[in-house]
Amino acid sequence: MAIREVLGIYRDLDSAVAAADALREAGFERAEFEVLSNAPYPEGTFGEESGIHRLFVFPLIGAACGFAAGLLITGGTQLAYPLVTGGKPLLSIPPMIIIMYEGTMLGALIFTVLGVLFESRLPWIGKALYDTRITAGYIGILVRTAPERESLAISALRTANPEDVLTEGGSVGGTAPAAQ
Amino acid sequence: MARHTTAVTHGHELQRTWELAPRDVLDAGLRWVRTLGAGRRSAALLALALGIAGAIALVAGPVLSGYANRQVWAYTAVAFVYLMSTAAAAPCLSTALRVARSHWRRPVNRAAEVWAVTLVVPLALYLLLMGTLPGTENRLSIWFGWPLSPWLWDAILMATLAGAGYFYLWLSSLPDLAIVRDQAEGGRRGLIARLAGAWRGSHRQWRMLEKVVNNAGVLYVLVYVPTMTVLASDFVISMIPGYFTAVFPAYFTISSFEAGIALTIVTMAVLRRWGGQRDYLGLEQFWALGKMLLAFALLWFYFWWSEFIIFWYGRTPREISVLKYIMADTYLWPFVLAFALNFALPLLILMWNPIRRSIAGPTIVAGIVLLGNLIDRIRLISAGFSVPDITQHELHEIPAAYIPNVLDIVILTGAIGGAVALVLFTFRVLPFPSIWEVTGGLWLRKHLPYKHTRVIVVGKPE
Repeated sequence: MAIREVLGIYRDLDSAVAAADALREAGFERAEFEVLSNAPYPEGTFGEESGIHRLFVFPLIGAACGFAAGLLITGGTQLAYPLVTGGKPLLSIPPMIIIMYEGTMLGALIFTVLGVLFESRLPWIGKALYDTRITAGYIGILVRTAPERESLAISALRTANPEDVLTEGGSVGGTAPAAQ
Repeated sequence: MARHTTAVTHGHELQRTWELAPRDVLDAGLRWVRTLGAGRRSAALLALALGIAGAIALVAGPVLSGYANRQVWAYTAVAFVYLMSTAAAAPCLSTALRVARSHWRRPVNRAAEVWAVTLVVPLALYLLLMGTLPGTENRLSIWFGWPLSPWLWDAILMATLAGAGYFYLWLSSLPDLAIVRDQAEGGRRGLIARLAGAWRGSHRQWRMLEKVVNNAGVLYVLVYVPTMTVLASDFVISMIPGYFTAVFPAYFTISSFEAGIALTIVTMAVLRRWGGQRDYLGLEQFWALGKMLLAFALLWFYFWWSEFIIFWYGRTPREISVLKYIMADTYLWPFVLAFALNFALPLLILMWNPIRRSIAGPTIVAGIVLLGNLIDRIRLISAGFSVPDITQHELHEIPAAYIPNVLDIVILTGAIGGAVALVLFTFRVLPFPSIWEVTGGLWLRKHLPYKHTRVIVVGKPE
């Protein structure tokens, strides 16, 4: 299904919150729009709920893989080539612990990097409306919706006194055009 | 822009940072990137020149004295261990402050984290030193003669630490890199644009960043502590016959944390004095870190004493030889200086409230600690690299102290200069203060009038 994007740019926090409220009143689900800003606002500022993320899974999987690799390298090699030295135990535990720990940390690190790239969509593969004014302190409200609801989104965004409203075709202005 | 850093009310100073508007913070950060003063440029070029001279000396040393002579590498190892104890320790402080969720730390974090950019220097020095380290077969070490130890396994630890450090720095800088990408001239091209990637500041990205930046820092600390533990064993304990100790790795790590805090305070003082950051780095930050520095100076003594008393009370010939070698005879004066600069002077100075509660007091003590840590590392590494036969079980003959030559000094200053140059060049593209962190703090902290005084009101969203 085709998805259209509309981006409202707001100068201050109150206008942006009003725009989010207007979108909800117009029947838009919270999942249909997102807030863009250059600094983090406290959770729930725009009425959003805590999103579900799977970030914790990545380091856990990485750590498990790294630990398994460390165990295989250390324990596996000693068991595969059993050379008893001076009557001492076959498995040399202290260096095994260090190497397994190294493997665990390395695996956790690599998978955390992958998790961050995946969960935050960096790099972004798809299209997304963006405006550099957002990193200059403006707040963006990005709506992703069906083509037939694009004009409804523009109207809702305009009710909160935006600095500008952008569509995939370009700027449509912050205020509605005067009636002919 | 505000001209004064603090407002005084009933003897308490309220820092101006939290009375600034988000726009002020953004402008300050971008101004930092856009205007590269002559002072910063000269300092960066001087540090770079030192780094290049150090690199030349690194090549010249082995050519003149032979690669196999381990003593020639003593000051390369000192430079390596010193950077590991200072520059690599500073991001651990940043992690601790983040995990504690204190607001005053917001302008401090970048001053600590930026040192992670220098991790390539100790990594390169380790790779050079790797060949000079003897294998662990037929001698006492943490590795029990494990294949390819210590070379491969230390290298993996070092590479993991460097990777974790760069990842942590990148994550904590990501939103500000996006600001530079969009707002600074030429930001859309080259390295900055690539590092900023597709950061747009969406709700999903912010929630991810806030969660993972802490985890990345914790991951860094989890790699740093075992790395220092293993390095303490491979560069000191196992190189001095008869030095059987379980406390030294903890001493080595704790004293590194102390030096990491000291480095952060000195960095803040430099940024405040010559970087125009008086609005962001004020009494609140120096006072808080001064308390931490005092605590770690006391811990320095605790761990040193815990180790010393065992050797002192045991008094076997093996223990007496070790004490004479690293503390009481051969390296007596480096030890006395290390004791004074890492513990005695910080305690005697910072125990006084008015000094601790100042900007100059913690800064001077931080400088003292950085010097003390360097002398301590010179003592320990010189001792470790001067024993001709490390396969014996005790020191039968105490070696003479190693006196550095000109090349050694050039190598040491070069490594430090190279690290400083990397930080200064990084600050050409990385805003100070951290725009996103300070602005995020502005939403949560206000100075408000309360009856006849003004108070700090802090919001706790969690």
